[in-house]
Amino acid sequence: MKAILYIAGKVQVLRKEVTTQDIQAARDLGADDKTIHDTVLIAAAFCMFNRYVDGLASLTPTDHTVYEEMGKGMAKGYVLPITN
Amino acid sequence: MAHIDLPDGLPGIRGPMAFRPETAKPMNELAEILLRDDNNTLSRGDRELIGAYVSYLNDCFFCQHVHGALAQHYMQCDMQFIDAIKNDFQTAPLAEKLKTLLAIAASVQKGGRSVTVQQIETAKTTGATDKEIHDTVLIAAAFCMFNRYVDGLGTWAPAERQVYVQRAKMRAEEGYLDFDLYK
Repeated sequence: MKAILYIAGKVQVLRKEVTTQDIQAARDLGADDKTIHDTVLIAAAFCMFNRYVDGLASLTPTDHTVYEEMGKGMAKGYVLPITN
Repeated sequence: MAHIDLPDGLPGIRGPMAFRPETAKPMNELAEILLRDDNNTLSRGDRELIGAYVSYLNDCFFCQHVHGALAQHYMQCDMQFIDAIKNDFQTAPLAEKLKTLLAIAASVQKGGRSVTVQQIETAKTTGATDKEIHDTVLIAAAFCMFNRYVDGLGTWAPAERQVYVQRAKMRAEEGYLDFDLYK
């Protein structure tokens, strides 16, 4: 998991940061091609989501308990809550 | 060589998209809506240019040339014109509104919180609508994903820039939904 997070961190920094050594270190710990693919894409997708959220200066609750509730809801699936 | 075992001969994003079609589908649907859907007051050329510019800032060779060539195709200009925009869009002969949107896109590339209230105000004074600002932010953000997907997996890309120009017309016609990854 640490090797995978290390790769994700490098994807966030940018482009050719991910080295053959990083990939090998993850493989040595049992990561397969699909795991590596998904790690890179999850990291890349969050570089999009983060910029979408902050680039539009969207409402960001500062109360941590709000996120606990959202987390419980989102664990059931990524569908938008019903808003009135 | 790519970091994972991708199908032979597929350039750029096409390799990982063929490797994992389940994730390729929503990415292509997003690209189609953002870049090609004609129900948009920004032209296809404007939107491809925003994508190409962000890809240039992210130093993603494949994406900046695929989408630069598409912008070139839609705008009926030459590669030098696209290069000049990448170099300094402020001095390029572009509409003021597009320049303000490119400035917002450049801030998004750095990070969402780099976008300033001033930039948004300036865009609005040149006539940019909320939807155009929304789409600019999301196009720029999406390319921050696409670029990292392409380069984070160490994919291969043709080095000859003219290759992308030659293929742009076909790419424009086929769109992002119904195309053969292997062609």
